[in-house]
Amino acid sequence: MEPPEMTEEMKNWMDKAFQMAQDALDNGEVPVGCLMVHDNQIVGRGRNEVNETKNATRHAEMVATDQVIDWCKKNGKGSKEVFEDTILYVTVEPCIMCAGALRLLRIPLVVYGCCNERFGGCGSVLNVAENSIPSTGTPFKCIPGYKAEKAVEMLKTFYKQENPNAPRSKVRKKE
Amino acid sequence: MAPPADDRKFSSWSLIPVLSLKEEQELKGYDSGHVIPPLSTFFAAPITDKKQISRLSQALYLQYPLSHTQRHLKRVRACQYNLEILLRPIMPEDRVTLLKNNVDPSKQNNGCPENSVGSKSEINLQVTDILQGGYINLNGLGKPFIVSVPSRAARNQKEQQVWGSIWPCTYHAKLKTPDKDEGNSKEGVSEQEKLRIGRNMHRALEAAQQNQSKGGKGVGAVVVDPESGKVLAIGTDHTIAKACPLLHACMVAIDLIAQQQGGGAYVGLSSVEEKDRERINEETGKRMEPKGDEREKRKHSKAKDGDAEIPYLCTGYEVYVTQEPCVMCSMALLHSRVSTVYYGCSSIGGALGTYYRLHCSSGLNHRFLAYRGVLEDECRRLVCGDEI
Ligand SMILES: [Zn+2]
Ligand SMILES: [Zn+2]
Repeated sequence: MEPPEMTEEMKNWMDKAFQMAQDALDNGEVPVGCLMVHDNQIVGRGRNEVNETKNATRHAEMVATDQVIDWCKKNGKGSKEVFEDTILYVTVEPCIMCAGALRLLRIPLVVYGCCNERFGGCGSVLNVAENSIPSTGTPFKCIPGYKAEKAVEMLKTFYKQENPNAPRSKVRKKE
Repeated sequence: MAPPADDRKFSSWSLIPVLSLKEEQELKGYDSGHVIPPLSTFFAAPITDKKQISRLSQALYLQYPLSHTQRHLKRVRACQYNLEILLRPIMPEDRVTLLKNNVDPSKQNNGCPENSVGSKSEINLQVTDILQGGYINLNGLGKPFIVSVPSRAARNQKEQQVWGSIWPCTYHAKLKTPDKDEGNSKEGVSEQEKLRIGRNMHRALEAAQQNQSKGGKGVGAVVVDPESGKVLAIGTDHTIAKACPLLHACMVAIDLIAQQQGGGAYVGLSSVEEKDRERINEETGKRMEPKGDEREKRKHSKAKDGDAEIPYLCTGYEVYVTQEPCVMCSMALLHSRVSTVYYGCSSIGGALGTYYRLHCSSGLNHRFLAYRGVLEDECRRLVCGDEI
């Protein structure tokens, strides 16, 4: 079932985020894709980079954020103004950390696919998105549920693929 | 950056554990005397002939010994005008009989009328129904009843007081788990440990002061390996220097650790010079040996969960940060598997005690310890503005 608030344009962006997630899956990465869209163009995109960076905070949303900041520098725009007018499209509900980050960035709207039962910050574990946390940016709206089953299926495929006999040093991927 | 040779230059501070809501309510309960112990139900009976006490106690002791989890219970209590004795615990198979008698054993209040709200519950059974088998001479036992008793031993003096008002219990001080109020100092840590914590926070404080003098928000975060006692990374707020609203001191410190391990995401983060860190570690090394129990704890935390093989992240490390971390940073520390976070002053949107208590949230897959109040006054003086 598709959320009724979704416009055709939003569905198109989400489909692009899903393509990124599929691409990640094909390349052995956690199948989570995200796009940041400002003024009808993609200003940041990201996928999980925890393994490459050995930094547990490098979730797709954080990676995309840094791209937006770079985009602003290149285009001579103030990042504050850009983030305040940017929509995040992501295949999985942002975790508590990322939801906190999105508040600090003052992103007004997040469109996502499936829920993140383990770490979700938009209602699954905590509702960082809507709670009135003082001094922590602004709350944001969410439109959940677009192609949720597909997003879950991709995650399941990924975790099934993971070889249980992989060397011990191999990091367990997470989102 | 002079070493903190004289710790007395700081205002006095206390190390305050940031507890879960449940633990906090338990503690409040102690203070106001409203602790309700976990209860289990027993059949009991008054002793109508005091001459029979020792014979009855012995017979019950042999035929219905208290299990090892019930040994805190005294078998007999004095109640107003007579004595009462525990016959045996109520077993699951008794419930059918009891329900037939319109008694729900799970809803029993406790016994002695003068010190409890409820009363012991009458039942329509005879002692012979309860002590079947007929091995015990039942002379001297009155009409049986049901009573609730503490189902585990008291863990501290305060609990013992409450337990004792419900049913007399023995209390072995040596069996207790460490109590927050006892221990070597007021906060349950030794003076030496408190000094160590203060010194590490002093590093974070120095970094925060430098950060503020360079136009930053005046926040510092230090990562310490408790096994070696070494300072591994010193991060400061880079939100202004890097024009990125997410580069809080904790996020920077986490990335500095990743960089040392061959990873990292942010380039050009200014950290305390390598030389400086080495100097600090040399000084620290002279003063303290790695603590054996910390080492054990860390091994334990590595072994007990599925992500244990991750060789990097901040598994087992301590983080010292001048202000309570925001929700993003707190979750970042949780994702990074830190063992303990010490912070100076609380923040109004803080996520380790003030707005959320992420470190002990039941829905999450990792927990860590959090303490506040370390060099609190000095840390608070650096706070500027509203926004975290
Ligand atoms: Zn995240
Ligand atoms: Zn923060």
